[in-house]
Amino acid sequence: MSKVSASAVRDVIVEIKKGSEEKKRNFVETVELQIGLKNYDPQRDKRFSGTIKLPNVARPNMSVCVLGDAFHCDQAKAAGMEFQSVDDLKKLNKNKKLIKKLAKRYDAFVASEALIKQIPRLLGPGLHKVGKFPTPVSHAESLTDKANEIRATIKFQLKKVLCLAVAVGHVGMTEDQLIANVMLSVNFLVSLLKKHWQNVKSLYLKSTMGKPHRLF
Amino acid sequence: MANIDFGFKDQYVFDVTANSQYVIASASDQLVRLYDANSLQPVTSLAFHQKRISKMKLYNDQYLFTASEDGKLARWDLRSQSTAPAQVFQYTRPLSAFDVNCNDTMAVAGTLNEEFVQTAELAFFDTRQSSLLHKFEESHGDDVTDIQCHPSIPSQLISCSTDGLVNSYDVKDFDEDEDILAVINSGSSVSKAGYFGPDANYMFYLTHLETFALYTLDGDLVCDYGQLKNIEGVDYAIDCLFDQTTSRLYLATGNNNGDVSLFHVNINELQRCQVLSGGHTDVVRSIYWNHTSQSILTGGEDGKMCAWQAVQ
Repeated sequence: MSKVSASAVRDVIVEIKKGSEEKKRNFVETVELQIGLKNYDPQRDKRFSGTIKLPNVARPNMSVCVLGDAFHCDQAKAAGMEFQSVDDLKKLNKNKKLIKKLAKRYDAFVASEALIKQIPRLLGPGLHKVGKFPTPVSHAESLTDKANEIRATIKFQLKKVLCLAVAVGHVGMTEDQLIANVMLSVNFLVSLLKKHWQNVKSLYLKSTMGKPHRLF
Repeated sequence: MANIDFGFKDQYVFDVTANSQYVIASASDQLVRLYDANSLQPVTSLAFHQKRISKMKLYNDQYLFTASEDGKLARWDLRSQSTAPAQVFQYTRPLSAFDVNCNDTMAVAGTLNEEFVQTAELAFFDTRQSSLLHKFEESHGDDVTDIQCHPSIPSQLISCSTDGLVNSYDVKDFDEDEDILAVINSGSSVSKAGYFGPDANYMFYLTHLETFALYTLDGDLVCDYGQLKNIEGVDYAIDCLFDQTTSRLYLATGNNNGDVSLFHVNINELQRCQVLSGGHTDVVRSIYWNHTSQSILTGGEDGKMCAWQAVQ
């Protein structure tokens, strides 16, 4: 049984959106979930790390580049997506500076299944350190759907402190969208903890510049 | 089933293993404890590491290795009477994973990603001289969680990380730009990865979200078993073990009550073959399975090590 109800979340989100309207910033504020843990020892308990796919896109401005075979390059072009073909990648000649530039230009990459096995040969480890190794995409999948899937997926990892902050959306989303994202995130993350709700000390929701609102 | 209770109720057993003389456990108090393999009576403790022992592995009947967040990788000679390491490899970063290659010429250690450094490294050591041969600084963007050296090719290995990647390498010339053979992106955070198959042509990975998949070494998906928690009685994976003599692959899983379920890994099917219950009362963190003697050891967060006999 979840200890957080959708209506409680809605109340908080209304507050957050109001606060964000009252003090408008020149960027779209992220909505962040902060989880305080208890009865958990990062030094010896199992790692708390992974990704969550949210029902609604949390980072709409995330730029995704397609590393495509002929089929996907055509599809990308038609969809107005940025792309690089095998030949484009070969032209980089494994030049580290150019690869670094490519890595910096986009937030994420998808690569045709046929191409992804060539990535180490074409680009070396250039995309690894920055966490941008491509996600595979097959001919049967839609490129735009895949890109949105990436924009809706967030990483989380608890390191040394007992607090985890996770971006679950932004203030431009509707209340319903934010509620769906928050409920899924909370229930998913709690389900990963050994003692579930007994491992949760507190839950706060806030916008980037706003004050934290307690959920639990 | 025999039960070895450390008596330190608030310590966790991390890794368990055994050779012909001893049954061995590493624990969260930074000690490695040796017990007589027959009587299960305590023999000695190895006190050396000053920080968490991230991994302990038995290399062969004579040598045990331990790696720690104190930056040291230690080799222990189980045939000597000494309680000091026979060899120490010192590194400047906390070590979170390691392995030693098949001909004992090279040790590979992986590090944590630390905020002020923002990179995780792979350090390659010459085991004949304890010296650092090389390091890779670009292959992983976050904590290295597991390393496995190829069972018969001394220059090949697999590493995996919380960055979601499983990399396989051939490091004949230590050229990081050229040495990566294949990369699998799990899309998540990988806890364990390794080779399996009679010719070690395949690899498996387990993620921190408790998903499990098999791939060819080239990077083609063989089978994705998805979320293991969907299996009744399973809360997490403990390890994936390959029995060389029968060419069978096993998945060891556990639940939060301490019950262990062992599965045959078949294509598209996980077939439960044995349940070990009545031993542990909390999360089981490691398993050692001797397929010759069919004895199994498990260690867990209840501070216990349990010895079991597997059914044929």
